[in-house]
Formats: sequence, structure tokens, C-alpha cells
Amino acid sequence: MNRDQNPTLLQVKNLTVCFRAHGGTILAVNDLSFDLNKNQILGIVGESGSGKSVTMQNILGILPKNGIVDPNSQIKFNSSRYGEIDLLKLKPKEKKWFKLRGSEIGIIFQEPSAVLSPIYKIFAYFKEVIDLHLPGKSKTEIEQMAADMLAKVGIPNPSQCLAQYPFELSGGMKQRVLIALTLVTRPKLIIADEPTTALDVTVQAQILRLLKKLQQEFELSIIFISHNLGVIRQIADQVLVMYLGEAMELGLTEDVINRPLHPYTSLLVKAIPHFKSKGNPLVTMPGSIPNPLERPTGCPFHPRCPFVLNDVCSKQHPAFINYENGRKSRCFYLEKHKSRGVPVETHFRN
Amino acid sequence: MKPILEIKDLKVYYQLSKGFFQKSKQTIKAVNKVSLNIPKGQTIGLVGESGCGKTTLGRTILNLVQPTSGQIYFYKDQEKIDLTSLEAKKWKTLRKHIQMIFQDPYTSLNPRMTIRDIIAEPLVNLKIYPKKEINDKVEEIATRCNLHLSHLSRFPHTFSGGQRQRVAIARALILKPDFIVCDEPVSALDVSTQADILNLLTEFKLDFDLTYLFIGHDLSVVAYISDVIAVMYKGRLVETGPTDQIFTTPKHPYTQLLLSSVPAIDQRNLIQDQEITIFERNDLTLGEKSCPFLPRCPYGETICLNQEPELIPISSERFVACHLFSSSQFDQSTIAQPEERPHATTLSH
Repeated sequence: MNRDQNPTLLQVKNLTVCFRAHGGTILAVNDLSFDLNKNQILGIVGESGSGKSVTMQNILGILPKNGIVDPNSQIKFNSSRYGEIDLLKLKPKEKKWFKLRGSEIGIIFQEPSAVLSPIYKIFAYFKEVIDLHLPGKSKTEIEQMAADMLAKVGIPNPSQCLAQYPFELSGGMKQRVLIALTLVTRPKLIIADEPTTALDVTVQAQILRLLKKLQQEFELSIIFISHNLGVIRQIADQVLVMYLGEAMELGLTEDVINRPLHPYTSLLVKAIPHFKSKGNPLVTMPGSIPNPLERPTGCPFHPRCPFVLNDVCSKQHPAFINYENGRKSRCFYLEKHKSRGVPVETHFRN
Repeated sequence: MKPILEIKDLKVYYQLSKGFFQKSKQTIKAVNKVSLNIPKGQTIGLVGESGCGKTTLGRTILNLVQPTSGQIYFYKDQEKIDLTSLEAKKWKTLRKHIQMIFQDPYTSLNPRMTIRDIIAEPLVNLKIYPKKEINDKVEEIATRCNLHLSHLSRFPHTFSGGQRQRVAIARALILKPDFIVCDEPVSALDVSTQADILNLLTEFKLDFDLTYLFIGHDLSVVAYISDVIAVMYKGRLVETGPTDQIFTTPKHPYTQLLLSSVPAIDQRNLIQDQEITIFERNDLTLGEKSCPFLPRCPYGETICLNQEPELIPISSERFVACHLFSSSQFDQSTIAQPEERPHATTLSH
């Protein structure tokens, strides 16, 4: 990553979000910090309850009403219209949101058929988006812009597609239409929330290739949220591993997945089955993801961790500290080995 | 190896009415002339994209879907029973031998029944054991499935996805069946719980001498658990064979495409510098007898348009439905070897 050449586009600092729920408060995101540079794809991976969706909701300003953001949290976005702006300081109905969301920050959702209402033709969606963000365009201009963008995302017959209803298109085609719809306003940042999870594996491969191609062509920054490490491995430059709302590990994708530091990442990678490992039981994580109301004290992963240090892990909260090659991780076990100067290799053990 | 289940020329067609006055009828061939032998003690993995008919095939075995034609034979103590023409009464006794685990543990468990009642229900329905023994049986199987006995009086909504799937497995296993259809049992679960359930299924297979039909769309999961893989495309079986052979040398162009699309965990195999051309021909009008994969096939020939490829053996264990391997129209020497084929980057991790 050329950190020096690419300016930071998005900076999340100490993001902490709680939800009021029956029976107490749920800590959904805890002290999360990361940077996203221009022209970079950051993958966020985590299981259910890891806080990846809540993070996304904060960047888009669509956090549900029962969510409470800690006043010290910051999400700084480098807007071309407003300069550097803290997204958390904007009120939900503020005008600036409508100029940012959709035109500077785009989103691609998981389930394309749930996003596109069956009663409108594809053209109507483009008209709505373009009228809102690039007003004053005539019908032929809109048609031209839409057709150009549909051709870019690989729709074979764009003008015919504009006259079709969503239910006439396959899942992969619908996702392509949604990508075109997001890109037509030329946003700088795209949040892709599990964009290939609902698709077949052959279509998934095509969409991943397409996203990578478009990212280079339009110089996009993408936050790619997924639970599938294989998908993240294909597309992301950097990866952030989350567990129970906390960043566990951050680094270059190749480093994190091929040589994990944190025991959680290591177990996550090993839990993926493969035909060559047939006959051997899969490595499992002891226990299960805890109830969010009964959050473990200390390190959130300590009840399931095979490397748990009895004296500290359950009592103190590990800090997110730097390791070699720009990597960061949060683990006492790693800290202990680092201070001794021993290389830690959680992936070779157990 | 002795078969436990034999599927012969199975067809499941659905009639769709089109237009307001139902003028025209369209036939959807969900399962089209499928023949498959399932040997006892093996796990057959059934893969294919959504809508290829894999779930319909699984449900037809349990008589949850009525077949249009064809037979399904179940072998029980030297007896050969045709499941497609079985009366409802006899089915009831057969359910003891054939069970199913469903995909979504959030909808397959009745929210108004306790875990104990859910697991006991098959025993209560079939009245195999006296009432007194039912409780012991439930607790025995629940312990085997790593469920806490103190949790048995709880309701499903208090459980996580992985725990619910364990309840569903306990319910399927309590009758000590011989054959279980697992319809995507881990696709709704997180990676860490998925590994747990897969280990449990493998353990029970050995302990109870089970045979699985494992339906899935995640190829790495299916490959891990299956001895034999059957690949379906648009209602037809296109390739079957032992898992390692299918994964190292896929023969059918669709299998090659499928395997080359799996994202590897240790390398960037999907996104490379050179552009990958995807074959997609929308100009073809397929006839009744055309190969269904023809529009996406890079090797298409005239014969593929006019003659349906049959599933033929290419070795003692492998079957492929493709003219590449049966027709003289293809000169075998000019066909690129798997390594050189556009889609054939086989999995290497």
C-alpha cells in the first residue's frame, strides 16, 4: 500500500456504539479505529454480532434510533464538497447528509432482490438517483448516462435492460444493476455489505472481478464487509477482523489470512473446511459467540481462546497495538511474546 | 458396495401457468432424468447453483415432493422398496429409516414446543418405545449432540443458530435412521459453528453407520464431508465421481467453471491481471434436446444443440454427461488438457 501517495479518505476514531435493549445495554462497537485511504479496498470480516453492520450504519448515518454513539467517537470523511467533515456530528435529517449519502458515499447491499421493488422498471431507479443527486438532466441524458453505466458493469443490452422490471433479471444481473446505480453519481467511497453472499459461486466470481475492475477505473475506495474469508482474500488490500464489536487484527490481507497473529483469526482461518483435510476433524473454537448482554470481561475472546493467560486475559482489556509490517492486533499473549522478542506464530500451534 | 438408495430416471416437473387466463402452460423441469446410486455408508455431496433442482431431489426422496415419473428404491434388509409408489401408512414405518435435516434452523423448529418435545416428537409419533423410555432416549441423544440437559425445557428462541441445528440433528437421529438427507445444514451458520456441526455429522456417520445425501452450495464444505460428489445443472446430473478426483481433474465444463470460481483462502485465484473471458452466448435458441449448459460452454458444437448428452462412464467410478467425452465430433487430441482450458484452474490449496 502506498500510504504516502494516497491521502486518507475516511478515518474512524474510537468509535463506540451502544444499544438499549430489554435487559440492559449492548455494546455493539467498542473503541474501533481504522483509516481508509483513497484507492484502497478494506475488508471487514467478522461473524454475526461482530459489529460490522453497525459500523457501516454509522458511516452512512442510518443508525437505528435506539443506538447511542459515544461523544468521543469520530468518523472523519474527506468530502470534495465540504472538506473534512465529522459524519457523527451531522444530525440524521441534516441537508448535508443528502448531499453526501448516495453522491459521495455509495452502498451496495447484500440482497439485490430486496432492494429493488418489483413495481418499477430499471429506468425509474436511475431517474430517481440522477434527479436527486445530479438535477436538471433531461430524459435522454438520463437514459444515456444509465446505459453507459450499465454497459460498464457488463449488462449485455443496456437499453433493453432499462425497460425491464427487476423480476425479469437474474440475481447476478440485479447486483450489476445495483452497482451501476451506485456508481452513476460517481461516489468516492463505496460500502459493499456482503455484496456476493446471496449469489451463486460462479456469479460471485464474476461480481468480484467486476468490482475490482471498477475500483481501478473509477479510483474508488471500498469497504467490503463479508463473513467469507475467501472472498475477502480475493479482493481486499487490507483486512480488519472484528469480534464482538472490537477490532482483533488489522493488516495487509495476505499477512492476516496466511499468517494470522491473533488466536481468533487463526482459528477462523483453520475452521474453513477443505477436501484435503477430509478425515481429520476441523479445528473448532470452544464455546459459542456469547450473548451480547453477557459480554465477557477483559479480552472479549478470552473464554474461547486456547492461548488464554489466566492472570490477565479475563481481568484487563488488551490494547490494539502495532506489530511488524504495519499490522495491529489486540492480545496479551502476543504482547508477552513481543516483549520477549520471540516471534509469535499462533497459526503453527494447537 | 451395496446401495442403500437407488434413484432411477427421476423426473419432477412443475407446471406454471402464464398469462391471465392461463392460456399457455410452461413446464419447469426441476429434476430431469436423474439416476444416482447411493452406496451404504457413504456421503454423497450434491452441488449446483440455486435453482438446479438439488433441494427438490432431496425432498422427493422423502416424499415431500411428488415425482412426475421415475423410481426411488430404498434397500432395507434385503428388501427393495419403491418409495415413489408407497402408501402413506407404509411411509410412516419407513420414516424411521429415512430422516432429513433442514437448512434453516430458525424455521424448522416449532417455536411453541420445548427442545425436549421437539426431539421427542418422532418417537411420540411413531410409538416405537413405551412412554417411560422416551425421556431417557431424548436425554441420551441430546448429550451426544452436546446439548445441556438443563436446556431441554427451554424454547428454541433462546438458542443460537448452531445450538438449534444441533437440536435438529438430535431430532433426526433419535430414530436411529440409516439414511439422512442434509439440505444445506450449515449454510445459515457462522464459520466457527459450521465447523462444529460438520464435526458432529462426521462423528455420527461413523458411530451410527449412517449414509448422507449432503446438499450444499459451498463447495469447500461439500468437498470436506463427501466421499462422492454429484454435480447438477438445470435439473440434470452432469458429473459424478469420487471427491478427490472431481476436485483435482474436473471433466465437465460446468464442473470446471464451478471449481475455478471458488475463492481460495491462501491466494488470489479469482482476480488476476489478465482478463478472464466468460462464455455467455445469448443468441442460441435451445431445443428440447440441447445440452442445457451450451450457452455457457466454451467448447460447444452442433451436436450439443441437437442431441442431449447422456451420463456415461469415463472410468469405473466417474460419469460425465458431455459430448466432449462421448462424441466422435470432438477429436480428443485437439481438446485442451484441463490445465490449458480457460476455466480449469483447479483448486490448489
